[in-house]
Amino acid sequence: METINQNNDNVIYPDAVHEYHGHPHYGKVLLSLLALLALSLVIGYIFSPAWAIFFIFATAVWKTSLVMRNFMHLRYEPLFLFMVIAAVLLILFAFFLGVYPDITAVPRDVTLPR
Amino acid sequence: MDTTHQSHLSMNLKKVPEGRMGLWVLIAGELVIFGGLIGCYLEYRLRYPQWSAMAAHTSTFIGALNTVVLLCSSYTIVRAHEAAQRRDIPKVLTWMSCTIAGGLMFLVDKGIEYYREINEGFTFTSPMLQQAGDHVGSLFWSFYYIMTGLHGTHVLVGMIVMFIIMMQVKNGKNLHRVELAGMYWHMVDLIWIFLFPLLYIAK
Repeated sequence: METINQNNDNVIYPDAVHEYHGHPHYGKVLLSLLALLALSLVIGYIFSPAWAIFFIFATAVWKTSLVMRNFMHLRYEPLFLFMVIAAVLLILFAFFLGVYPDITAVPRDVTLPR
Repeated sequence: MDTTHQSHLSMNLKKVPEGRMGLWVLIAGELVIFGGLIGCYLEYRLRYPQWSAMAAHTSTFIGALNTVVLLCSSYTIVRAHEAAQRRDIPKVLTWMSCTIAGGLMFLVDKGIEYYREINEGFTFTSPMLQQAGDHVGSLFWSFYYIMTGLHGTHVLVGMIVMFIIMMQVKNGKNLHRVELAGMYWHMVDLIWIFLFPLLYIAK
């Protein structure tokens, strides 16, 4: 993948960078994020703990998507970068599955040696 | 070759500025660090329902306030980036100062929260809980201090980096670095978006 050298101080803002991506309406994104935060706070009081955790995480994923796509401009990035992030999430999932037996196999009344 | 294929090909061949590329690699690494911690926390949380009693001691108000502060500071840094593209240096400095102020407010809130919790006897090792035989409860606070402490360190580093970049921008140099500092700051925001429900809402 080609990259652009930005280290030349004489070229403070090369045209290639200037036109690299557009700007969404940041105010609307911020309002959406604050609305989702309010929603996640309300969910905690409405639903049973298990469902609350599920819905709260769903709103967290939604907020993450808004920040990454709009504030971090991921929507303007090439497919390759999506694949890097997806690979990281896959590794994390494998880690989660790998560690799961170690944690769940420990007796609930675990005590530490004195 | 159909148009969809051509579009994907052009997306792959699009030039990525090297600074952005580097930042995405850094973010991927950070995701693994915090993702691993969050994954372990989730597994222990599912294993030990009594952790919800420990989570009840955290302040939802301070956590929510800090979330608002970080979301707003993400907005201010992205406005600084927008101003940098217009080469409007006074606006860049104003928006970046607001972001640093947001970071400072976050750390002050966190400090107040730590002070309260430590006074209640909830520390990294929580001897009070250990003596009562509640090792599982003590483990919750170890996770809490590792995750929030590591996150707080990232906030502090972001503020220092942003201050250094502000000094460069003041002299009309390195305006492109405003965007890179912003990407780092958004990553810090993203981590908090997951820590907040885990530690403050799911009780």
